[in-house]
Amino acid sequence: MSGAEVIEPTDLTRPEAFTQESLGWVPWLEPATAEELTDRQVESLVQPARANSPYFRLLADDPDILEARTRADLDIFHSKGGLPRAERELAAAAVSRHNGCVFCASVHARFASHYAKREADVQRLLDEGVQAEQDERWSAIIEASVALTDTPVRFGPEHVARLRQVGLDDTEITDLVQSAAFFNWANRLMLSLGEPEVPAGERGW
Amino acid sequence: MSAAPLIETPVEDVVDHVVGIAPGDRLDTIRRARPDTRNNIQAAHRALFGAETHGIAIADRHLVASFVAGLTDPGSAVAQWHRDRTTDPALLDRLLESAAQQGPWGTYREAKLAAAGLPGQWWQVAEEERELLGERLTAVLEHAHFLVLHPRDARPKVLATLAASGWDRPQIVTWSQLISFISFQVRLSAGFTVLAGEGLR
Repeated sequence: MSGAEVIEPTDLTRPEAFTQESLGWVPWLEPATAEELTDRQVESLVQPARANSPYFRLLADDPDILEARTRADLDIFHSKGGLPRAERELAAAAVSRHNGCVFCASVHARFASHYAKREADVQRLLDEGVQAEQDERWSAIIEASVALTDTPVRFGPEHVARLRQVGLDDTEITDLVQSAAFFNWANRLMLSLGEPEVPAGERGW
Repeated sequence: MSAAPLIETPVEDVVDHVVGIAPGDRLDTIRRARPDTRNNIQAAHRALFGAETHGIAIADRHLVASFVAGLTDPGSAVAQWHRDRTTDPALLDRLLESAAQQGPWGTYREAKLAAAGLPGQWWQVAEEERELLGERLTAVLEHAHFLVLHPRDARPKVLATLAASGWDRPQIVTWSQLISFISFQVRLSAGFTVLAGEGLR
């Protein structure tokens, strides 16, 4: 049985650090073309425009898990009520910063900045890391996200207590746990199957 | 390591099961208020463990899942649940004993992040276990260890090492999803377990 051929991109302009700028993503395995996708694979993309993304075309190799991943992702970040979108994105950005996923961090830092209108605070998270000074509520959210991301997992009653102190109710804490946990899924896929490049171009997801 | 598929007692929702969430519990009500999230998390589990897509044996999936879960939250109910589904728990325990580390660590390729890198010890399956597992499953376990503990060390050559053991592109996608999904499922369960123990309001 012969294994997959892995591409080693040679002339990419790589980002130099964590950034809120738009980045592209280049796969290390050549995905199927949009034309090659079966009906089931197209369906598994959930949003047809994702056929333009090499990342999703690659994941379409296993459509059942891709479809479940995508539908869970959309609901974890877009469901109504509960934790504000800005803070779900903040959790995603903090997890990505901690794991070291420059691509994921760029996307979700940008969303956090946009929804919270706090670009400088988000930039400090990217520049200085998860220990950077933030207000009490953001510190509690970032600290809980990091504790859930560490291996072995460190998340404990003290994190729940601090989240309650800053005003999160049980539904909001559940939304936070789901957002932070989800990025431990997403980071590992984006990190291990390809890499970011500058400038954004049309190939990003 | 392709033993016969284990006979699986259907569990309606694995996360509820391992956390001990019963119908009508406060956390059950909260989870069911987000049906797309709850249902698709279970659908993801079913997609990975309910079929031998791309010719990857169920028994091998359970071994890798139990390895990821045991590294991520040792001693947890979710790690035990996965361990209970492996054909050779003693082998799993030997692997975990030598593989346990703290993460995330790893080095960056981004120029201005070089100083922020944390180099560490890449784990390898010991010779005795390597013979039992075979080269292909050994490569998946070593890849899983990297992806669980130091994912920022990802480079084309790391993926090429996995591919060189004979896995094709769809198989690599499925393995990557499985390792990454269990990294999520274990953390979700850990978070919910703390929350359930805190007396929800």
